[in-house]
Amino acid sequence: MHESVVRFENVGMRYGVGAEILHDIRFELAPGSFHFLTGPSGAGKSSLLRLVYLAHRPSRGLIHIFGHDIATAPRDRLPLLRRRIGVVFQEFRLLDSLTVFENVALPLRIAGIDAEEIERHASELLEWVGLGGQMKAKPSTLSGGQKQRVAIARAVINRPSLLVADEPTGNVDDDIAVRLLYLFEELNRHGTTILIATHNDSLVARFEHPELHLLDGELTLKPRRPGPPGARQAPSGRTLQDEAP
Amino acid sequence: MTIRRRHPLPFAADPGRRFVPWLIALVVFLAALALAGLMVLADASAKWDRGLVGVLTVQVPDTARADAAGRAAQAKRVEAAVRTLRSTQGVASVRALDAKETAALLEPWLGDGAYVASLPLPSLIDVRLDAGTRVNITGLTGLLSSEVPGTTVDDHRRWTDRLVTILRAIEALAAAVVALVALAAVGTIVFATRSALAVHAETIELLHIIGAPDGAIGSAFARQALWLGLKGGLIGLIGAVIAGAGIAVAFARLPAGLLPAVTLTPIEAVTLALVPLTVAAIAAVTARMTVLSSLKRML
Repeated sequence: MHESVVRFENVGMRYGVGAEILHDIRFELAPGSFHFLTGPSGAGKSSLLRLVYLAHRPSRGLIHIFGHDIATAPRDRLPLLRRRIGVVFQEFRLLDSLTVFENVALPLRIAGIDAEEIERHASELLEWVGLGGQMKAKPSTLSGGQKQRVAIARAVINRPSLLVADEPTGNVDDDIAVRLLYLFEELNRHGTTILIATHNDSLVARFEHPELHLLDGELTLKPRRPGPPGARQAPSGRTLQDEAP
Repeated sequence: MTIRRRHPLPFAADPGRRFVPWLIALVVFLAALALAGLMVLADASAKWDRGLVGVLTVQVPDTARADAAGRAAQAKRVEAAVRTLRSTQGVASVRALDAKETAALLEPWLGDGAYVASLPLPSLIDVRLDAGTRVNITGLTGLLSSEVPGTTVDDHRRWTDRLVTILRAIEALAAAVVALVALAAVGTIVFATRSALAVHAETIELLHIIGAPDGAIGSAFARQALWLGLKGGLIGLIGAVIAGAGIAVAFARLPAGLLPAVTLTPIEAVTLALVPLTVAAIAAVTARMTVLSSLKRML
């Protein structure tokens, strides 16, 4: 039996001395699984994701990431765990002082990969997402869709075991949102565990993945729901740059 | 495509980048001047404290006879004292002051009236000792008195003792100034680093989430603080050297006497040159500790 990639046990979370916004959260993500995290705006999806990608400490409960209890893991171990998690932020969070290439290469630089390898990987990935011609551009000069592709490239460049995306389709139209989901599915087929927070119900309905539903700080697991006919007919091998703007 | 090693933290946009070097320059300027003053005063007070001023004044009392025979007798007494002094070990030079020179010394108090020459003034002998020589004043006084009764020897100890006390107090003050400016440097860097942390909070969190170790983020801030510290420190040191040289020139123009010479030994000069490096190191360590303590509040 494989160890869970993520396991939450009775996790509660509050910011500072404010009211608890997540209550008794329990769930597990098996290796290679694909889950949506749904719920209305303000339900606590982003907060839950912050716990998953180790940006915040829970107020109570246990969190295991890749089998490590984060409450007892040595502090110098946490960066190594974080490097196995790719994060796509809702607002991209690209660094405007760096070029597109430097933004994408950042996780590899932090991981101490040698310059030659960084150059090869980042260039290939940027070509793959259709931004090979804009490696030296600054993020501020890119469109929303282009920024999104840079953010995704940065999240996947070090081949994460877990990919967490917070409303990755929030800034794009439905067509591009669907294509993005195909990209995530492709990553999932290569073994990456995926957790995507979205409040786009039509998108969730279109893909047959289980749903973690968050409402008023409480989480429930909704089983996989079948998508509408034709929903899974994305041609395999198509990549994001084929269709994204 | 070549990777640039540009750091993800855009320190160039920091609000403190402009004013921190100048604040550090001021801190280093004050610290270097205080330290230089401390070293010069310490040298002088140590010298005086050990009674190694190197100057003695011998007074041969007047015979109280104003006639030619009296003057001749006094000249013989002075000559005898000079002879004795010259044969004393450690004496570098002996020079008897003539009546005019003695009168000139008294001029500030007695004026330049002709009556000064008629006063029964003692004859003065200026004695310079070999560098670092200590002379037994009591023994020398006894020896001279046996040759020329009434002769006294003044090693200026009475007032150099008071001077040493004052200098020790000034030294303590200068040491306190050095300590305070070091604290000011720490405060400046803590403030600047916290401002930079606030400015770069989002970037720091992103680096943290991507997997940057605390030490790497802390080191980036430390390097930045070190660079700003070195830049400011160099400016401050140059300012202090110029100011110190000005003071040294002004001191050198004064008549030679007991004023301390504004000179530094090679070790003291190196110590002074270490001030900006020390301040820059303090800045780097402070920045790193500030960042690490801030990061520890994150998971």
